[in-house]
Amino acid sequence: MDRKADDITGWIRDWQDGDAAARDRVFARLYGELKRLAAAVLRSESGHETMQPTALLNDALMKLLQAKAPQAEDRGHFARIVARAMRQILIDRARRKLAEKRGAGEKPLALEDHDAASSASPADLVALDDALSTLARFDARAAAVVELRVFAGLTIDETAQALEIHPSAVNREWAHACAWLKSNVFAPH
Amino acid sequence: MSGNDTDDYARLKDAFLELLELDSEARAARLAEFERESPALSAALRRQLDAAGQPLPLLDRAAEAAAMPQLAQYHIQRELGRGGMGVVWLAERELGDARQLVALKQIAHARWSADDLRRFQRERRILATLDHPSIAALVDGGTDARGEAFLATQYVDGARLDAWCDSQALALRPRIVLMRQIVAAVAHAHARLVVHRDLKPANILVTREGTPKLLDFGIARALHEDAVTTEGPSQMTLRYAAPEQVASDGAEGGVSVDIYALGVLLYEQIACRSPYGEASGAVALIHAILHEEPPPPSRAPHAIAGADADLDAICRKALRKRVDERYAGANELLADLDRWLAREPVEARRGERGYRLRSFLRRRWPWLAGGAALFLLLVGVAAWEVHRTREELVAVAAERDKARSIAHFFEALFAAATPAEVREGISARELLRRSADTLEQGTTATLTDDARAALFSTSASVMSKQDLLPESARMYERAIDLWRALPQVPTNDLVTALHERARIAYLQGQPEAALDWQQEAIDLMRADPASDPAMRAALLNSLSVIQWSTGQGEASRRSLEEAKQVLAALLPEGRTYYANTLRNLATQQLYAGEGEPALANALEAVRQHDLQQPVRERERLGALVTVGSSLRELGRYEEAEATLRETLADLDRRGEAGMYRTEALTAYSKLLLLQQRWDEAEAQLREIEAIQVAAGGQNHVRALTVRAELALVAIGRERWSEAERILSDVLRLRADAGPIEASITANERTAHAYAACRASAQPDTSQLEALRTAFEAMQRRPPLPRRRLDQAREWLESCAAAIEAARAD
Repeated sequence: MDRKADDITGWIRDWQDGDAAARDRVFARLYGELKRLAAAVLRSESGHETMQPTALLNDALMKLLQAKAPQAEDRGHFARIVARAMRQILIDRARRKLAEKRGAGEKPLALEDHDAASSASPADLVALDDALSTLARFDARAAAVVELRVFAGLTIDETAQALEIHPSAVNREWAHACAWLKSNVFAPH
Repeated sequence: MSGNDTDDYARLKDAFLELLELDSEARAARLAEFERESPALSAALRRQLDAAGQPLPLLDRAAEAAAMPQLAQYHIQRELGRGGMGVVWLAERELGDARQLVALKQIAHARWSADDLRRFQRERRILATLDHPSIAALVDGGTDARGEAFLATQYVDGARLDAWCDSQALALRPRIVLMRQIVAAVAHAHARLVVHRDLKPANILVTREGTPKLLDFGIARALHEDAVTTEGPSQMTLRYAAPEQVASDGAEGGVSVDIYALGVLLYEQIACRSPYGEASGAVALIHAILHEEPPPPSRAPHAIAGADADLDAICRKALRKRVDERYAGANELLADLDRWLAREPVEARRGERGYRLRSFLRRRWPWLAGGAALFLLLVGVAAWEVHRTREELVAVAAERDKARSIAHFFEALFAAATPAEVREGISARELLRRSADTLEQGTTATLTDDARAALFSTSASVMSKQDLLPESARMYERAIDLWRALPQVPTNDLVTALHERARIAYLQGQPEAALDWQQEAIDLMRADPASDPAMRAALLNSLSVIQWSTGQGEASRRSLEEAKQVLAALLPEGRTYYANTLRNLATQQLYAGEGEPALANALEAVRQHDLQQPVRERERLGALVTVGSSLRELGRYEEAEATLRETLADLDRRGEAGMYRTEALTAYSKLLLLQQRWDEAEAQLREIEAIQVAAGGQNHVRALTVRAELALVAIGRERWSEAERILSDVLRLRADAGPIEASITANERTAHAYAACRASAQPDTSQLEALRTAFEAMQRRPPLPRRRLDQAREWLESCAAAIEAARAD
């Protein structure tokens, strides 16, 4: 009962008036909600883990803006937040699964685990996450490209928009980052 | 060369990208050069090139996502373009011996369910009946080998309508002839009950022969997409959207939507500019679409020569804001264009006189014409709440006339502002205030009392969400009075209003009044055997909070006990809520010094969370904190420490930085203080302080609490004046603390009196008396840990001893 009214309405208005700080506050406030949504999507779609949420979360953004189309810049920003949320959820889940497996000895895999394993093994995910964190230290832009492509399911063009760089630059970043990550995952230094 | 150093990494990346550009022969040669320059770099490059070929599904899948559709009977030739819907490919389709060029569209992010597919097939059969020279036929659709949705339409080699007209520098008459063909195609589709819903220049291509071809007919509907919201560069789409598409929330537009879009296209053909002029950006466009009457196209600065008042009238009629004033069908628009081409009087001008009169009358009520959603856009969340509440009410009380009462509320809202004010951005609060006045003055005489009460209650709920608490309280009371007086009291409605009224009183710092309202709500529920037990438990939970804050700890615990019973009977439904109630109860028992039952309830809360699928990890960890606190209160310090540390580690592993973590840190710091582990306690408290200051500022009540705890560290270290200074500061800033802080302040006053006593060179009995008074208040409201009462007793002795010692000197 000690809930304090916040001014999200005002923030949204300020955001629409071009105040980027207000936008960030709105997104920060929504972050938890996004994660919840994303998790719900993941639960309902066991096959394609990485592709679905963008459209859905974009809808969430539209709702927030009361059916107004978000500016490209806002969508980019939003996509990055979505990617971050998705990554965190997937990795948390993968780590938990790994821990369970370690803890449970010979326990047979549950059906759910089979589904998830068929699309991405928890070990792969965790290894990729680690490698991606390393990459981010050298090359933040390349890491952002990978995050958007893998965890938010953006295409090359969408990624280019989100990062405000040219699609050909995205292509280059992506080509190198993939090779670098793979060599890191398969033969960690 | 490991790539673990930023410079090495940059070199590796440059070299790798360079290699990627080369064919295999040149690549080998370049690699050999690298080998000579730097063996390490070359090894890293080789490793990376090898790795690039190895599969890693996570990365590979993302790369494939935009790959070509895989369809046996199609040969893909090249990419035609990308749009909001997805990638479009040019492909050759084999049908026996026949070959046909098609535009193959991959639908982005559309992984169809069996239901989607069935719906699509049904739509496709309808679309297949469209047979018109100006409609590009849909030839195929479904899912490809990977399950990606695709559509194949007849391929049109042509230019966009607007680009074509410009490049041909068409005169007026050929433009109207072209538009006539487009309108005829739309009329053909409408006659077969197919609506386009997304007509725009990008969807109309003109072939080399000058034949217009409409693309994507019926596809918006087949894909079950709202054309306005899903398209990427949405301003383009918005520009051709009808007011009802913009205003309504996902409602399907009918033929009227196509008529409007045709009106925009016709207008642009004549005026060489948009009916909305320079307006760009979603906000401006939406405003223009909903409110602005476009100027006559013939008077535009670059209008095509020959445009006349008849064409102006045709555009105007196609672009009417109200659906019922537009052309009723594309065939009517077609007929008017044919009349114009035949130089006959057009129908559009016939009704103009009447229209002018109606529009004059209506100008004073633009809100009713524009519809609800316009208002939503302008005042945002407040109105959305109305909308939602209205929907709920419609669902719950469809048989009564409450829905109508809400319509009245809308009217009052709309009527309360002049258009100019809305343009200038009148605040939602101001609107609500005014509409509330209107409602109270009783313009709603035709409604039943039940409906009027619903109206007051709805408006109150919106106002409370906008923080208009006094106004909201008044409206709730009007609703409550009306409902109480009904022969058949609507329990749920009345209970909700009472509960909300109680909440407002509580927020306004009137817990006693809150108690009365809340009590009445609960009595009503108890008396009604049909009342919803989950709601009763929720009310009991809030009641206990109010009771707690008014110092009625005993009653508060009883309320929770009752809530616990109600919820236990509902299990497994509401398990999380049950667990949280158990935890609240445990906390209150701790304050009452009932450690054992508290521990039992906290453990049961954890167990209930464990039974939940999926486990609500955060809340489960929250319950574990209460377990830790219970162990601490029972003096089982080692177990308490193990539990709290483990819980903290779990929270950190999960990256939790919020309330639950702060709570765990606080519980732990209290344990450290009890054990006189001053350094560790201080470290924990500093961390909490940083969090609280960041959240609420230097002087937020929670920051003050932490500072007072830090003063206990100072006391422990016998830094008396430092402790005294901190505490007098805290108490001064707490001057206006509400009743909920009472137990905390008693605790702090005691510590302050003690620190003051010990800080004095010549402590006297008045200081001892101050300490005793504070201690007595503390006994009435014992803090947690309750061991602090014992500690305060020791303080009394130690202060007395200090006075003795001072006297002896």
